[in-house]
Amino acid sequence: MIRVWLIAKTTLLENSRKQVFHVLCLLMVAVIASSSLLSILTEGVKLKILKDLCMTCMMFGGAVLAIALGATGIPNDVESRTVHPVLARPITRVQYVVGKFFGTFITVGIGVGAMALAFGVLIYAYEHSFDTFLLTATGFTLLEVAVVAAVATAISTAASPAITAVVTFLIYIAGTTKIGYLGGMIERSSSGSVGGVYRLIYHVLPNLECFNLKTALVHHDVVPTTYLIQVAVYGAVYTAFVLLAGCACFARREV
Amino acid sequence: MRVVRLAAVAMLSCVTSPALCHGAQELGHHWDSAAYLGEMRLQVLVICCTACALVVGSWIVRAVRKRQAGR
Amino acid sequence: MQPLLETCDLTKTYKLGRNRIKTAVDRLNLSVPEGVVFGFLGPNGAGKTTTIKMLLDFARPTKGSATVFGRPTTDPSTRELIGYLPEQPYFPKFLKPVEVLSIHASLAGVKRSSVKPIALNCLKRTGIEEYAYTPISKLSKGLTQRVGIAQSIVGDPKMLILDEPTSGLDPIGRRHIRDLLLELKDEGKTIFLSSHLLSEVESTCDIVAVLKSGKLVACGSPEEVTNGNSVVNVETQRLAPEPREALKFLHVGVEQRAETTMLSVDPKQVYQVMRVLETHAVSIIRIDTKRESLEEAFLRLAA
Repeated sequence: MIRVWLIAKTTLLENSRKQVFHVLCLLMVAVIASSSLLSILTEGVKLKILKDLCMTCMMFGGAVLAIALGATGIPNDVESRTVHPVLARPITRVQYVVGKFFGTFITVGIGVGAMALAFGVLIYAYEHSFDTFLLTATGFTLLEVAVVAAVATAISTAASPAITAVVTFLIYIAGTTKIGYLGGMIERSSSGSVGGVYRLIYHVLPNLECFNLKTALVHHDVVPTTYLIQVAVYGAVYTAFVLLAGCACFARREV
Repeated sequence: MRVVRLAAVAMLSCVTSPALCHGAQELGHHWDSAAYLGEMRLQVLVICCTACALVVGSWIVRAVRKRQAGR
Repeated sequence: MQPLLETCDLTKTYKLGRNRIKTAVDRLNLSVPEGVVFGFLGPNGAGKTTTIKMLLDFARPTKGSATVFGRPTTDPSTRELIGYLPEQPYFPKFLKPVEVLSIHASLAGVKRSSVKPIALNCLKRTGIEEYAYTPISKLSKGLTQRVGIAQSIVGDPKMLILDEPTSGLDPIGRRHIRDLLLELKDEGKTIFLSSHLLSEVESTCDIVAVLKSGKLVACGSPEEVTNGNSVVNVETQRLAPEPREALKFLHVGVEQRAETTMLSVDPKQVYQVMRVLETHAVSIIRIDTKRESLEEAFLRLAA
């Protein structure tokens, strides 16, 4: 575990110096902070729409950060050959990949945390009280980010940064809309083989919409604890499986 | 190139965030939806079965190799 | 005694196209005993780096096997006792040498309390302790190379695999590193060294292996690799046609100069040549034996 933590720490230090991290975090925090200005421009803008927008910024910003950082970590190390002295140590490829994932996840977590803080301050300014459900919603956003980061890390073990970023982004969009969009396509497909392909894609893609607690936050709905536990288990299991697939891929790769 | 890439990512984020911003009525309560819960449970089951199959498979392969090496 | 590093028919091939296969390493059989400095030589593209990659499990061999400390190279525990210097070491630019070495010391399993003192000691041994807190991005190529060498000895490995350790170093730096390698050898470490600086290999290595197109063409001590290829140079007064004809039958190299003649004689034929010269009353100006240098042996074997 110490070795995994060392790789994670080095990755965190590296990622926190990247321009894309600073730009995205600042941009999302600025969008969240400036969303309050909408009330000046448009009449009757309610707090609910502000919460919706801020929550979406946080989720999307976190996902984009995870993709940007996860897609470049391992390929950059291999290309710049900084991976050689590390892998020459008694560290397994699994430890290396897991360490890179955790480094990326912690970096994105810091970014999402900054966005959540800006969001919390905005809600406090409007409601003059702190909504504790924001912590739960942020936690599940982090879980979604973990899944996306795991997918990006796994694909990056075999593909270039550009391909990894594009494919992970497509998986993210598809995973966010799969129940409604893909589910509808399966129902409408007449051909058995086409339907079979859609069904396979449907069951392989992550169900990212289940991490979205935006509606509950906006409307102060009660989300059953059993659902939250199931989603947490699902997120952890999917992340672990995707990471292991990436580790298996990297174990065979020549560096 | 780096500036162009950063600008593209920033533009994409600004444009897509509001686009993904649905009204509350559209989404509904997916924690009550059987489709969401069923899909999650199925995926967890498939992942656990695959993992078990891989572990059992690797044990069998290792045992066979050990036996062949012993001969 | 079991060799520390052993390869058995180690082979690596790459598919270049439909029916084209490139053999980077071809049935390599090496045996490196403990406590020696082993020089691994070969022209560019001979397969040295590919062999090193297979020893460190960066690449898997197509056929054959390699063991280090009696364990297969695919076992990560073998790397607990190996220190590696890549051909051009790269480290995260924002880190400082002491941080790089601390990370590598921790990865090597050094206790937390000892990490920093050991890191600083290794930097001192490579002569760059004053740059311990300067970011890698601000160091020259030679200083980064020394950080790489320091990184390879942190964790007190039993075996060092060094790919071009003196690359980018000035003559003072090269001398310093050569002395360090001899010091490490006296400490009982085994050093597997790949280098193009043959004069340094000749003065440092106990055993030398020469690779050509993936195949091992020579292996032994520097004396053994160059042995049997000495030349005796005999300078005489300018030779008349008769002794020249007599020497031609002995297949002696004859070089006529303005005032003298230079003969290149196989050491086994020296007495016969002397008899011919004595018979024809030829005056001998100078005799010396020129041993084939490792560079000449390398050119003979690998060019």
